[in-house]
Amino acid sequence: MMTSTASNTAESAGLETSPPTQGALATGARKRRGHNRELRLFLWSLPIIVFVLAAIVGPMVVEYDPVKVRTGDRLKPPGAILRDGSRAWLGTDQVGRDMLAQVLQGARISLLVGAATVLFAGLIGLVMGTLAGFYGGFLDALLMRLADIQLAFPSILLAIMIAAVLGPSVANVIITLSLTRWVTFGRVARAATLSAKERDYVIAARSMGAGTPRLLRWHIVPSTIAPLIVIATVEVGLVIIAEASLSFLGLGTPPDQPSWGQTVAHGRDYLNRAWWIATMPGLALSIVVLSVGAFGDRLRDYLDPRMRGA
Amino acid sequence: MESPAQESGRRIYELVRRRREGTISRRAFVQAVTALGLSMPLAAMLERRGLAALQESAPSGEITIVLPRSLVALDPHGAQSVEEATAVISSHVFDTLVVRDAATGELQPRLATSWQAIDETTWEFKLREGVTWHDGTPFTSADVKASLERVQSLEGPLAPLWALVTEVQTPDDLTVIFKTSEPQGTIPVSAALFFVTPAAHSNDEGFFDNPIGIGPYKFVSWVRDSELRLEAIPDHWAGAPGVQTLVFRDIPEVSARVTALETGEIDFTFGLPADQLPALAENSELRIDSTPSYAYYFNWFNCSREPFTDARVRRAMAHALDLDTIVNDLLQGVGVRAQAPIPSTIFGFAPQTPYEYDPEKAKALLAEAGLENGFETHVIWNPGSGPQDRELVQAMISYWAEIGVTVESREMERAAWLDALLALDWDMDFQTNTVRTGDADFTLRRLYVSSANRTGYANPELDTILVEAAAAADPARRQELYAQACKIIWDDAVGIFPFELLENYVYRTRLTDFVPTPSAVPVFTSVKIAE
Repeated sequence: MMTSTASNTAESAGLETSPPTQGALATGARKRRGHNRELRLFLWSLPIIVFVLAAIVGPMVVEYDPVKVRTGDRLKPPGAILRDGSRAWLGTDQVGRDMLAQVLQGARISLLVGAATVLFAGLIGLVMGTLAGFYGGFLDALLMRLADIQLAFPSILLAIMIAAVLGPSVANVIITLSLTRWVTFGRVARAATLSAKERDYVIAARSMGAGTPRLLRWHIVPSTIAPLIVIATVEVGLVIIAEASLSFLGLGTPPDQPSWGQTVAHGRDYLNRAWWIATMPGLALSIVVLSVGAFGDRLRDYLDPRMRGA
Repeated sequence: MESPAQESGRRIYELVRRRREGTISRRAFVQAVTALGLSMPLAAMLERRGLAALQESAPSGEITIVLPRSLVALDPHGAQSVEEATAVISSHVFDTLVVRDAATGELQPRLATSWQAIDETTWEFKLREGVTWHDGTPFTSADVKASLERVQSLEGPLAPLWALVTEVQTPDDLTVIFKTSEPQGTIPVSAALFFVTPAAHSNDEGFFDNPIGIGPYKFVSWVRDSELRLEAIPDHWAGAPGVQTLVFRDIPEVSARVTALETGEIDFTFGLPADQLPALAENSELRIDSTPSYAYYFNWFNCSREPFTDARVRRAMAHALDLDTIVNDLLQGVGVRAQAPIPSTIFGFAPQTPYEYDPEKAKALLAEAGLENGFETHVIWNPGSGPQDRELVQAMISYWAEIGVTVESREMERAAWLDALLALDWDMDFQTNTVRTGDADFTLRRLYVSSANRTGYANPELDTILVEAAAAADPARRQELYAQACKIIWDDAVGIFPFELLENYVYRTRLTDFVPTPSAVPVFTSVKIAE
């Protein structure tokens, strides 16, 4: 459905500043553009790949023990040599734990929470949105009013409320954020379903006797996946920030599982003496959220058929 | 020119440095610091006397103060009555019968002009004549009676001090008689903490949101979690305060508080972490008054819960901690190792044999108690309770892990923590505590008699000693009894008593005549603003 229409439409022709005079030239330009887009997509995914690898491999290489403190080596600046002769590349924190190990450990938790939350919220949203869009009527009204109510409420406030009831643990953070984030996915899935179910191929499938489960599974859900993936990339960044906010407030991960937000929270009292404690995880957080956002942007361009042939 | 306070601050750092290098003994260090703390207010007073005489007596100007912890309630009798913030505001708005002199530790007349024990179970206080409440009503013995009954009925943390008082008699407007069921020598000391509130209004709904006081400052406004304002009473019976307006701002964030002090947005704060002090000491616009305090850290064990019912387990936990290293690395300038369940500044202090850092011995003790594989437990604590508290909890947990004990850190919001603490719903509790009266009775009897049931520890022998010590009139006898009590609590390891704290009051140099108090309840009536 998203392949053929684009290049011949009026608006994309309007975008072209110099209309192609020769077919070969136009094809070459198109290829270059396509190539550039893929390159940009790849470039923005690089930091994400690096952080994902660091999160998986890092804690195995640089061991982090949340319990062990070395008070003699506390508040050492980045690059300092510690008492046992090792080097703290990102400095040490207020009780002498290595910041590099802590940031890597934090990457694992932040990325895990981001990915898991988007997965769960996406699944809830997909189910709710598809059902609402497909059946319409009362179910649609009920689910979408529920979504409206939830959207009217600041999502971080809702998250704080749920987190305060559930208590601090990584699983609870994922549950909390999934419950506050499903609405966006639900709305997008519903819109995609609404447009898909009126399409000729769906009507054709229905007239050939396809039942509801089959229609949903093979004809409607596949058409909602692409927009959901784009939304997911935007949401990952927001979720990581929401997790950091919760941990900053002491409602996120427990103390023995330091996420970036938590490390920033505990390091902020040391900003004037040991800036690196709050800055290092903050920097990592910014880089990941920025690249995920930019990657999502490029991915949307890439998947958008109208942008493709322009 | 260096002021005596700055000089003392400098000397304390010098002492701490020498202690770290090991060039002076711990005992010499504590003595030197104590001596400094005692001599400093005196020196400061002598220096400023000349200056003070020149100044006008009318209050003027405005100073902004930030307390280490937010004010929760103004009621000086209820659940919050031993909270520092409540006590600080109460010391200005309300008043006590007697007051402990910050420099000498002696009891001085305040709302009472004299007091005496008529017999073993009767204390008589003569009240000051001509004192009025801020609304103009005269202060009488009825106010004292109503306030005391209120303390008893609200059952707050101060109630145990008055538990033995069976009756308050008011033979005339200016005489109050406390009858006790048993002899009690500590009544005048306790009276220094007992704020009198007006009998006519104290039980009114919302009275403590807009209280009528009797102290040198009157209440103006309070916006919770933001700002509280007090205005001077120019014709107060004790003389006019030096500053017209006291503003108590709420800045819970330490770094924000320090910045505000450096920029001059606020004038005065205290209770800062050790890591903040060196930079502040170098700032010529600031002065640090450092004094040994009544405050100390403890880590209690819930002696009614397995495995802490076994004293060997409790001692093992104490032997697992390398307190010398912790105090050197984390508490420079704000703390020293404690030698008893009460700080060395307190009447009744008797030094005990320290628990040496010995992980092997700790493991052996655990094995003896049948816990050779260690165990899992938790510690509750409230962030902001004292300097470097988070770091201290982390450090202790790290040391306990070395002997196989896994401790979960349960960080709690203050109100929730207080509820859990009083309900005895914890395995271990880590906190600071202040012996507000400067007398061992306040801490030892209030917290450790079996009937108080604060730690689940019950020892009839200790109960007898503490009750007798409270009753005794002879200071030497009381000292002797408290020494025994200290030994029992220390040797049975009802808790670990790791550090006693120094109080560092940090303020802008435009403030003069501040008298540092060891009780962490600074009073600003003497303070003046230099031109």
